[in-house]
Amino acid sequence: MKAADCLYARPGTLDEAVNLLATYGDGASILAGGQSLMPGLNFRLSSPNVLVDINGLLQSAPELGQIVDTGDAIRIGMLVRHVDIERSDLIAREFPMIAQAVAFVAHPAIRNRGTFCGSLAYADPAAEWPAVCVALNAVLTLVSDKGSRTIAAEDYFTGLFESQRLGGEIIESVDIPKQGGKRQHGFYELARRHGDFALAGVCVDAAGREKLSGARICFFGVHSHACLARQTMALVDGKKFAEIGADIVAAALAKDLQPFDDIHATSSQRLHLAKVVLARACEAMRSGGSAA
Amino acid sequence: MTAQSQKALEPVSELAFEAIINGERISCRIPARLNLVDFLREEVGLTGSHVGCEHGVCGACTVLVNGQSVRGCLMLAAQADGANIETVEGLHQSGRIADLQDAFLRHNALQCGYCTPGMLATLTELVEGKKSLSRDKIRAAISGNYCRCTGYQSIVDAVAEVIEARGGKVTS
Repeated sequence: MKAADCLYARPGTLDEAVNLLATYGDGASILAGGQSLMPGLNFRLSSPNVLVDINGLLQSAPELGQIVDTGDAIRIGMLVRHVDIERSDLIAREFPMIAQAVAFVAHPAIRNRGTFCGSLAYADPAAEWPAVCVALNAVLTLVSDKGSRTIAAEDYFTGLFESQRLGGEIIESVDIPKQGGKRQHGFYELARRHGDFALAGVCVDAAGREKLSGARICFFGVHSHACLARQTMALVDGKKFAEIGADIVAAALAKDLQPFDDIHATSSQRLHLAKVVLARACEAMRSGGSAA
Repeated sequence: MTAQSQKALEPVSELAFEAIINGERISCRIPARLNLVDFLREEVGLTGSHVGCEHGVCGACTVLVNGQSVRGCLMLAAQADGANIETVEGLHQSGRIADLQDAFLRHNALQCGYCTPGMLATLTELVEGKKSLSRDKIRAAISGNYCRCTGYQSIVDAVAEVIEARGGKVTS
């Protein structure tokens, strides 16, 4: 089917964009990359009255399309596309996990248009970026006609496609605090076909390559939203993952995750796969190899 | 905000559109909700690009906008205002994909041809300037272009041949 009739606006500045959102309220949807919104429109899962195309904001504010070193953090702007992440030497240097994960994000044509911040706004439980941001302690900046505010990624995602973002707010940027080489990363994703949404995936960020001290672990594809797997983190803290019994890991995961049944996998399959991806991510960390 | 700029910002149900499509300037008015591939097919008559899944996974609608491969079904025509758009018709006419087309024929990399225009758009972006690539990387690059006929091996063979003929190197 085709998208329902709607109105279209193309603001040139951030002020114009937030004012449009304030004016049209729930009836407005932000159109950035469109790679998640447009399928929804094409299937009429959503029929907004007004599409606010924010791509024009780049002309008045080119920093929205940039990846910048702020000193303390790497800032990813509102309109940075997945392909920009893929090509960024700065990202590859500071956050190898992000450089690794981007190859799993959909396909080249999707990556050319889809935006990093759009992925956070959409909050798909199977998406990579929400989990990466939670694991890496990222901070989001949200802006509306009332001003701006910041929120930690680990507090931002609250449920299935749900977040703390209020109607009228746009994600202006995401700051990922620099780690100065003091942390190690593990990343592993399982999908049926290359580029599919994840059946299960995990991001691990810890102080050690083998002993997972102060680990931050966030799964995707196996829970309603990206959130820290706190029981699992407590379990592995300071230990070598290979030395922890598999059933003890499984028990911690069962406390942290409520996977869903759908046409792709059952909840028990997902719980099993969560254990598999965690083991593979930790093994890749230990051996220093790529987890792909 | 002036009254004039306020008016300019009012959401509209149809708008003016102008772009370069396969080297030709096209100007018209378009409905807001019309997506790019439907616009190209229905309004411009360029039926080479195909509609498949309408949610971005099959790749049949892939075209080039400002040199980048994009899903024609996931972009509003309005978003391509002012852009340089190339479809398979233009890529063919310019001769830019002549070696890809030739290799496709010899390797039997198409049968029904439904996926082929989108596949060629994706491959135009892939093979340009590639010094070295593995077959796995080729597969990853075309993973968003579904083919029901060929089983993909012949497509990968054709692409590998083109990359090497253009001076690159393909590892297994």
